Amino acid sequence: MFVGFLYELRRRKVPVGAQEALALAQALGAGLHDSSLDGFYDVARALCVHTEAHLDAFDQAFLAHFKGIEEKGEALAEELLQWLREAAAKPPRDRTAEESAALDALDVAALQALFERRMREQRERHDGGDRWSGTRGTSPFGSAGKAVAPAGFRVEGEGGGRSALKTADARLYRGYRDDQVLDTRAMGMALRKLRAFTREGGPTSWTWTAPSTPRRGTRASWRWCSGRLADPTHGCCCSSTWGAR
Amino acid sequence: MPSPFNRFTGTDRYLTNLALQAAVNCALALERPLLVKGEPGTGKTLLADAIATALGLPLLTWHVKSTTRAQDGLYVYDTVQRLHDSRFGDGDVKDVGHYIRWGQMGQAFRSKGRVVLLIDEVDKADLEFPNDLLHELDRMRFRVMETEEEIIAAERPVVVITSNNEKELPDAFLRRCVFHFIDFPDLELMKRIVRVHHPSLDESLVDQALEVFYQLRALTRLRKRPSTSELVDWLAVLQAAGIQNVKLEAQLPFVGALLKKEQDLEAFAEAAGARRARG
Repeated sequence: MFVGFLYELRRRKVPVGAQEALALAQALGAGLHDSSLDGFYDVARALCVHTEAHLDAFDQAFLAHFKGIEEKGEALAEELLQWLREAAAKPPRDRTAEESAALDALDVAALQALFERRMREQRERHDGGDRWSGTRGTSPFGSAGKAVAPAGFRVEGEGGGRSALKTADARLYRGYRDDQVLDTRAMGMALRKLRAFTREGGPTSWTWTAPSTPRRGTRASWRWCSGRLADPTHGCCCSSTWGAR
Repeated sequence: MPSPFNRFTGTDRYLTNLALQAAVNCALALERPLLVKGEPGTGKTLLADAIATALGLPLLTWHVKSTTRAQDGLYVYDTVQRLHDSRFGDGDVKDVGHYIRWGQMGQAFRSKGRVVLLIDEVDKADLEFPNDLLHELDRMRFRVMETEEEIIAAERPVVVITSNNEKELPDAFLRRCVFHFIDFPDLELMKRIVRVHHPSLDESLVDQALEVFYQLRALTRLRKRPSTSELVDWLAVLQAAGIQNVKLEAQLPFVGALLKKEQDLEAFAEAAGARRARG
């Protein structure tokens, strides 16, 4: 089920392998994710990411793999309810063992009411606000291969936390990546920001000196250039030196 | 069906979020060490304390220094004392076991019940140190060469490892651990943390102090940004001095509690001066 997700992680250079797959299976088997997508996000992040440099790649992989899952979750919920209604409509001797077990464990009317309330809440959140729908508690729908979870639905109370997809979308850990190379474009953008300085309290001139000979003690192939920001009010307030090959 | 082990949900003195709880519960359920990283002052060491309190287990702390060797955590054979006793003392020199001093990890394995073992700042020691621990952490047993005794842990201790990111940790070590990165708390969580430490502080002072704190953190020229523990200390000082109002200005009271480096104090003075000139 989640093996595809692990390959998505590998594609983004996060080192996961059989050890992580087994650990994740064990954790899900122990129910540590509380049968919800947000729980899965937390558990998978704790087990698959080993250093903060990979946190951003994890977010990207999570988004790529799980985006759009809420709509599929709703469709699955509808399907389940339909199946339960059909099972309830049949006379007892025609039901299969699965159907009987499901009907014993769950009260179809209560489930229907709960489902409608959830849909209403989700629609309100979509319209009213800035939050994605929380998908905690959709356990019967998520477990592929098993028709029903005996505990039934669980509706999450207000925990004050963001949903997993929204957290992943926010890309909060972009700054911790260690594979971003400072390229010409980034340098250009940084230098362009200096154009925003105005006369009002800002420095007035930027002087470049670019000596062509290398500094003593550095490699012959390096060239150094330095810049000075001069501000008559406060004196020189910024001076930097760049080395480039 | 979730297995019936005690889940961690934080304590009343240590506030957590769901991601941290998930990581701790994974470490407890899968019986793997928990590696915690984060900015200094975000509560990594306190986490082990909170886990021990929440689960009602004793806490053993091993503060790693740059001179620590992995063997020291298991046991040290005090040869000098034995030699001394053989010449001058009256102890039973024949019993080698008498001169084995157990390290924290050795104590954790020998303990009858479950304990929480905190290995603090593992990146301070040498590069090979985490690799040396690997075997013992995996198998939870070690051998005392001098007495030919094998110490096997009756109950796997809960191992919490913190790192300040000063050095890269080896991959083999990282992959055996459950990882959690403690984010810097946002405004809401910070308010709750402050409330836990200073319940009687005036609400408006807390709001103003938090605003100043986050504005300071947003200054880009600081070498070391102020952290949670510094904020808590600063609020204690403000309360003791009876200050009612703070705002970000050059004469910020007790700024030395927040900014610890000279360059930062200079950068702050300039930034505050520039603000005054502008607005």
